[in-house]
Amino acid sequence: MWTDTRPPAELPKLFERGADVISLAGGLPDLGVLPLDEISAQLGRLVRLGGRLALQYTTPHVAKSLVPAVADLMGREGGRADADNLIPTSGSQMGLTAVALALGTPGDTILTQTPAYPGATAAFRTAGLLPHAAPEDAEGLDPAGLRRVVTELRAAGRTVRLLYTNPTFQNPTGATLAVPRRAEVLAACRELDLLLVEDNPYGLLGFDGTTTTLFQALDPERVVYLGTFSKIFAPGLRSGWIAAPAHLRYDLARVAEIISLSPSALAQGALAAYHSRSGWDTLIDRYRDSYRERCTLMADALDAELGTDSPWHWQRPDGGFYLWLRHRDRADAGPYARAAADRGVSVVPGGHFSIDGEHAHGLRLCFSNVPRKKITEAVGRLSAALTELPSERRELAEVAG
Amino acid sequence: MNQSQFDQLVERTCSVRVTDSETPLVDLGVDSLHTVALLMAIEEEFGFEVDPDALADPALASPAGLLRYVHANTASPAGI
Repeated sequence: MWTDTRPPAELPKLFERGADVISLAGGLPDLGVLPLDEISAQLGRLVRLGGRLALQYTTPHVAKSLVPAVADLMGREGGRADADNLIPTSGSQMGLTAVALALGTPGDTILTQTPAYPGATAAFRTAGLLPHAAPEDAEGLDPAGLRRVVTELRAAGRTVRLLYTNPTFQNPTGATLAVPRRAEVLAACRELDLLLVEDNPYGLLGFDGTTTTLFQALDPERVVYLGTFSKIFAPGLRSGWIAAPAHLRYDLARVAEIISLSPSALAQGALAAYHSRSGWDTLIDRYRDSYRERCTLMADALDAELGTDSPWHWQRPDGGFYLWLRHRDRADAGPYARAAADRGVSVVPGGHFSIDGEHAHGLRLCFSNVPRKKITEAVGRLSAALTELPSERRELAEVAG
Repeated sequence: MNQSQFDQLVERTCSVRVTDSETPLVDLGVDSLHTVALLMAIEEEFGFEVDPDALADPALASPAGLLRYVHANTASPAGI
């Protein structure tokens, strides 16, 4: 296939589970917080009263009844949504594919914040784009570095028009780019005529309710925003949106229609009904509480197991799904992840989040879906793998040598 | 529930402005999924099962018509 890429654009098998394996791998939300009786009653009503509409094809728009639900979510981070700038998606994975196909040309370079969500780089590569690591410093995306790298790439004949970022509670690091830095990055984007693609699935999941002003709020004409209901409602409805600048709306909507023909009216109707009746506050608070509790349990267990002398460094996240370990001496985390799997705990090694082999010394731990009572056991198994592996390797080396 | 209160329910559920209670929903800018959302809200608010085909009768397809339908189907038509 022409979409075959080097390296292969494949997603890690994050959602597979084995017997007695505790998974810290896949970024699944904790659906235990969903009010299923309420949702069931609403779905029943929706199908009985409007099934012939909700189960039919529909037009490629975010339904008018759903626009207030989107505007409510984006407004919490200062963003703007109205019926004229929204394009429906089946979640941000489709949004990423639509952005790459509609706004890129095969062979174009897309600057990508790394470590990066593997689904994003896979989508870009499948559309024929070439991901290139966006320059970063200790605070995150680096505007001066952007100017330098874009100038160098263009001088080398590359076409660079897009910058991709997941700026809040980033997958996999949990890091958030501060607002002043966002403004500086946007200033660089205006100078360099770059469009910024803002992928924001986790922005409302700050443990203490803190939110960070969106890039889209700071410059709506320079930013293509990808939103999703997967993390604040449920991923099974496969429903999200793109909030696009006016001049890109048509191109994005056309590609979205080619990909999916139309969104699910059933999903849109269910989401609109839920928001209209209950609003988002209660559910978002429940998700935040769940993840804060799980993250605290995991971080406390890591403190207890690894202590301060460990070569594995990490920071307590303030929100999102993930905790990111890095090896002090940049040792490849792959063998440690395999050793952890042998001990019955699955994690994702950092190489999955790289563009070109970088970040291989990282390990992503996902706390969002692991049962509370298994967290300590999971961290115990992981720590054993992380701390005992080097000596085992020495023994093997001695035997071999 | 009086007409003014019912109009507010329509406005809240359908994100429209009810200028005249007798104006057909479609002319107020209520689209088809919004109409379903309104029927769902009526069921929840008034506690009876709405006939999915109720709005096929043009006389009922306005805020005033719908409130008459609600009153005809609730035990205490004077209001809740």
